[in-house]
Amino acid sequence: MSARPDVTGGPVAGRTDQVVEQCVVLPADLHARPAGQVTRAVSAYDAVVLLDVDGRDLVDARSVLAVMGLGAVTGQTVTIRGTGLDAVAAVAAVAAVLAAAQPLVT
Amino acid sequence: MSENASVGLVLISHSRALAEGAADVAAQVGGDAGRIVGIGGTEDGRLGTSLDALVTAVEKVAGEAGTVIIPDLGSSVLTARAYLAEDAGRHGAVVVADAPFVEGAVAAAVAAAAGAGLDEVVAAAEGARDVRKT
Repeated sequence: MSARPDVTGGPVAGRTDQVVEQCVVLPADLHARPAGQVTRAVSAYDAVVLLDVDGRDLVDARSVLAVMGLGAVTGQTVTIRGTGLDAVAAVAAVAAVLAAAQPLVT
Repeated sequence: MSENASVGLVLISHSRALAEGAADVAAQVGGDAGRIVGIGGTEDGRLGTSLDALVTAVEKVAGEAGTVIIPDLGSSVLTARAYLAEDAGRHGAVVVADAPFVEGAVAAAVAAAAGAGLDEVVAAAEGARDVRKT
């Protein structure tokens, strides 16, 4: 068994030695409400999920205030990186939330 | 999840508008408006805090998972402490969080809505202290 994280070979659910990574180009600013959705989505899974924006600001997706603090705006790329037993599902759930982010209606 | 399975939140301020506004924001970000209540002011609409109002609010949101009170400052803090001294145990586990009012409320509301336990919700609220804005 290889100890090397298996990224290119395709993620497998239930493995703890892999890093699952997915990028989402934000269709809207990552304001308070979608940040809350991100944190709630991650909380359902046994996984550690970190986010960065354009290669900086690595934050824990379980902290809603840290996710808001990214200050990520429309068009920026968020990289979602998960490890742990449920990493595949957790990263997919966060990606789905980010991809569905709506502009604020004022 | 049964109706009262998540941790309840009570925000207490001198100002009803401030407390209700913070509760609105926290409920919207957390996505669970039923488990959070903001109270403040006197019965005749002036600034102030009331232990009776706090007891009523805790009764409203208390459930098996416990309740977190987040006070803003001054007599809100004293009233929250008075609650613990006088009413402790009657409505299950109740903890006063040492947290920034709005940020702590938002972090706690999200954690509670995600099904976190009492200790985790308190930790989420108190962790808000370290979040920088600049």
